[in-house]
Amino acid sequence: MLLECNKLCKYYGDKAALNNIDLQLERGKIIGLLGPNGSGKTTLIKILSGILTPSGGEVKISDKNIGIGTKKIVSYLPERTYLSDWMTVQQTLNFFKDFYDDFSMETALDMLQRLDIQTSEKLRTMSKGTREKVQLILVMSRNAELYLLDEPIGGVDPAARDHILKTIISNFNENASVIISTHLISDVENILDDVIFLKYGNIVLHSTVDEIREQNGKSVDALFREVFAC
Amino acid sequence: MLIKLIKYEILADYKKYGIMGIAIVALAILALISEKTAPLYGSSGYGYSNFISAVFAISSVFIIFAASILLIVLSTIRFYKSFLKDEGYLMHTLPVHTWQLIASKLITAYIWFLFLLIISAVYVTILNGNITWIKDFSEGFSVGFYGESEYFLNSLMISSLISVLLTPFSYLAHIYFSFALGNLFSKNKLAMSVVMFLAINFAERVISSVLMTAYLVSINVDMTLTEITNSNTLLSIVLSVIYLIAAERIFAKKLNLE
Amino acid sequence: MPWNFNSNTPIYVQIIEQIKFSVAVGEYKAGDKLLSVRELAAEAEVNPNTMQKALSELERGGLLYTQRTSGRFITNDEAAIKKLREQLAEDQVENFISKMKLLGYSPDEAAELMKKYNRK
Repeated sequence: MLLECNKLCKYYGDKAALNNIDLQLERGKIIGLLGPNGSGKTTLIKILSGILTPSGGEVKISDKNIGIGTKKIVSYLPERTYLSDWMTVQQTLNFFKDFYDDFSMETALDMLQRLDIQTSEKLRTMSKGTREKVQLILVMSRNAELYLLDEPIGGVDPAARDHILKTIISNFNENASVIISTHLISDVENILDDVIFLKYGNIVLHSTVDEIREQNGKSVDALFREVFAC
Repeated sequence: MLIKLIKYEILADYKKYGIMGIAIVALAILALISEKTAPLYGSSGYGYSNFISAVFAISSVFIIFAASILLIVLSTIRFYKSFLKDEGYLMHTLPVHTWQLIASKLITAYIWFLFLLIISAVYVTILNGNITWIKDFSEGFSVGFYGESEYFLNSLMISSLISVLLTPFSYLAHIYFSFALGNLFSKNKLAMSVVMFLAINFAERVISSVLMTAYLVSINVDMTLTEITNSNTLLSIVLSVIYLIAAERIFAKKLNLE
Repeated sequence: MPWNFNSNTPIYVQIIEQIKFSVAVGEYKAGDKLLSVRELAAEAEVNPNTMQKALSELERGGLLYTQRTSGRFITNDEAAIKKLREQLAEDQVENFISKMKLLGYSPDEAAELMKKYNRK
């Protein structure tokens, strides 16, 4: 099992952001973490990446507790820009090469070239969209075991969206899994194996996309709208 | 990994410190030029050049002070931005230990401190036109406190020097610990960090004065200035190490990035 | 090839249908080599596992075969492809007739309309 959460909770003050989550994920899957804003998607991803400490429960990634060992095999794309803006693209590549043994310079350069991004360019002078693309390229150029992508298609145009999805599809392998958190379900539905619906910090559904379509005769997006109808 | 972290810490701020260094040296050269070119008894009045020289002479006393404050401010901003704001998302997901992250910041701050010390020395040397100021300074120091001028490096000088060299260390340990405590709050982390900084400062003063009083009263009334300086330094080292260990533990075990 | 998916049936079922159709209309010829699973998945913007599932299903049905070293190919069995085309045509007719029935036409009337349409 790649990921195991047992009775995982996170409280902010007395408000529960995650409420006794039990979750098991296998390798080789692309998983959609779906839910409206404030449902706990980002909280769960931040716990898995090690920048939030859970209030209770247990998390194991590849049988390891969260720490330096999991950080080596988890590749995390936050929903914000986390690169220092004084860096050039080349410097960010070197940075990843320096710190991550699984980083492939070749893959990254290849993707940058396809997107027509110059390695000599400074992040400061880039648009937000381009910076997000650079981050995604860095994250996907690692040969990690678990990819955590928080809202990877949040603010990008449709052409970039297609490219991002293609990047995800062509870079992950059967030893790894990808968790994509998003509220734009119809955009990612076709690339998902499994979906997890989060509502007020609880998992209300964990199923495969095929099952949902076979059993309900409707798309995940349509089901989602039903489950979360106000 | 530590070396790599330090490398990127230096890369992040070298321009700021470079500009600072150049500005200080430029100031010194400017002072030198104005001193040499200003008329000794100009039409604007008596002693114009003397006035300028006096200003620059005083400035050399303050320059290291100012540089140290800038160092603390820049290091604090760097720590806050790269540890607790957006860049923290990258730093804290690197496969490195928390102590390595903290150590890299502390060591880098010391590299800049050393740099600023050297630049300050250059400043004073340029202003004086020679390096005999070191001897003057040392003599003045010795005469001032001991009434004897023959020792170039006496024990008080060494004690004071150590205490000066440790100032950034104790300040940064204090600041990192404050940020760590602030991080434990679920809201207003930055504001709580400031509150914690002040609280620690207050507690430190209380402890230190209580200890000093107790020591002076009960054990040894005849403490020399050197001994007082040394025991202050020792106390500050002990506290700083405790702060750093506590900060490391908090960031390693209870990290919560907003 | 262009891929189009509706959102109500499983993607792998739709992939199977679309590949079958491409073979029947001759877009894919007997013995043609297919792109890799990953490339096909990227082209169709679907999950590689889904593409794999669809291709395995087609392989089980005999329309595709795998050569261990060189990849996946459309069957060389022309008869099977002919049969597939007939099958798909039959499905279309069945679909057409059942819709016409709903509109109140008998199969003969429907056939008559069809002939008229063709003369236009």
